[in-house]
Amino acid sequence: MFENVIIGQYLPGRSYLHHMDPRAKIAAVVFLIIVIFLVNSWHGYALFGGAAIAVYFLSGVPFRYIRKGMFPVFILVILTFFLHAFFTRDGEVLFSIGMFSFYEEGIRQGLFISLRLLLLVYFTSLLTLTTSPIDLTDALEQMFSPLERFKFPAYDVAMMMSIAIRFIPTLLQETEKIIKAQTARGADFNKGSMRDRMQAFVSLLVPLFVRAFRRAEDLAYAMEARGYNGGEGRTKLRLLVWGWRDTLCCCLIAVFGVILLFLRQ
Amino acid sequence: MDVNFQEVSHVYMQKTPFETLALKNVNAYFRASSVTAVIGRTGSGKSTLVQHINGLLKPSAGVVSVGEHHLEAKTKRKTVKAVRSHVGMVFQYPEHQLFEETVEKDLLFGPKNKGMDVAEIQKKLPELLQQVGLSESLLKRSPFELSGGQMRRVAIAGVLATNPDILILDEPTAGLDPQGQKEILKLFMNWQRTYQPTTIMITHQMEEAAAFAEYMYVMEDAEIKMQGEPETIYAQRKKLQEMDLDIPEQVQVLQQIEQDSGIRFPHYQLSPAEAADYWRRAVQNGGVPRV
Repeated sequence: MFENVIIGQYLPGRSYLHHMDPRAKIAAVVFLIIVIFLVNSWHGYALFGGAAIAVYFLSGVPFRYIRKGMFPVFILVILTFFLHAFFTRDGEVLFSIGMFSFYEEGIRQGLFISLRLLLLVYFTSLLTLTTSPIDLTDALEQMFSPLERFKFPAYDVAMMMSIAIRFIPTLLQETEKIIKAQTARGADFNKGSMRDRMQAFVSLLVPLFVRAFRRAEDLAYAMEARGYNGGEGRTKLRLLVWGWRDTLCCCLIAVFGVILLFLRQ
Repeated sequence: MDVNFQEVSHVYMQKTPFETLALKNVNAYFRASSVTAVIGRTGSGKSTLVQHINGLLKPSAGVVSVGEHHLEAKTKRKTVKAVRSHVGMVFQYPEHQLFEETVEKDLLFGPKNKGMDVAEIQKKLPELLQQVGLSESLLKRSPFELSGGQMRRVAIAGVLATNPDILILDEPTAGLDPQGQKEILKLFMNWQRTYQPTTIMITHQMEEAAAFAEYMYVMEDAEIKMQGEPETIYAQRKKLQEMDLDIPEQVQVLQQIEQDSGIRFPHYQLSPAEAADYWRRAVQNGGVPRV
């Protein structure tokens, strides 16, 4: 039932990207997101596209997965494209349909924004597809830990995130189970009147929440019973290791950024 | 209503790296009004099998026939819904499906969805509660105020409220104490005797299957590895043990007595008192055990 959800889904593998340090990957993605908003030339986007293809081959993720993950974003992309195409009135008129005229600048901006969105989603989904959630939170915790000096609770936030991520599959399983149980009792989640469907969703949400609260309580007890009392002085079982891949990646990305800056118009 | 599986296969998460074969060319037949047990260890495909009967899962290949309906990979939802109205399914931990404000409303959820005469069924609710061993004073209470055991009984009543032609029990006694397990099992036996639904029970406890079923399927690695009447199954202890299963202790005792004394019991479903009585009479009739 949830076979098609790939947001935040991790695909185990042994590719170059899988072996990279999550900190390097996060830094690279953040850097790329910033850079992508600075690109304003066709050369720049061509270069970016080339990089995207290169990273695709480094990731070892089947194309099917990426296509499936990007699909929902397409709707947004098409919408923004048309918004720009309709409402930007700069440059020459390319063609008109009825009362609408399409301007050169509008099409250009629409395409740029669409490309930006697509590349943005593409790189972030590759990040989550090739990095296990635990690695991600570990990396985020370390990257935010300098902020602890300013009372930012990096450790606790990371702990909360990893607990939340840890329970996503459990909750999905639970949801599927309850959907099945209520479907067996004749509830219909996809068809029927608004009223019936509301009723069906109530029959899903109430048990789901009841179970989630109970589980949260159990987890709190279990953590306390094992002596958990916050992050002070805790050591890590899994250490992040920075390797040659990560240095190489950061260098390449930096060079990439510089080239893109030169290609700006 | 009878249920027939013909060469049914099921693949989970087809065309992903997580693809798994959960059923492999399964053939099985459940006679109308019979009681069948499906046994096997966790992950052997038992739940996948029974979820085909009410169309919660569709076969990747093969046909599941329920009464005159046929469920296949491309069956329309209308057919599935028609089948579903005949099938009641008690899941593991059924109390997790309770959600209404009152027990009464929750019991009526199934009948209402399946388009039955709600007023008629509402009148019968006190009787239904009694059949599952609860007092009718609970009708107006919230299901979340009840004890764990009571919640399970209410949930079971919620499934029985539609008086299904086919009743599927997926480890209905999981997580109960021995006394509770016995009571719940007894409840289903009584229900089966009164209303005669085709009953299919999943379990990994041989004792439970032994007490209830007239036919058994043993599953392992997505396939049906053994089938037959309980006696036939018990005769193949070695094979059962290879699948982490064993014959019930009660049967072990009776088989041991047979081996040592030469007396043959008519069947292994005898209660201890019946067995002792049978043995005494056999001895009196000259079938002297070599002690």
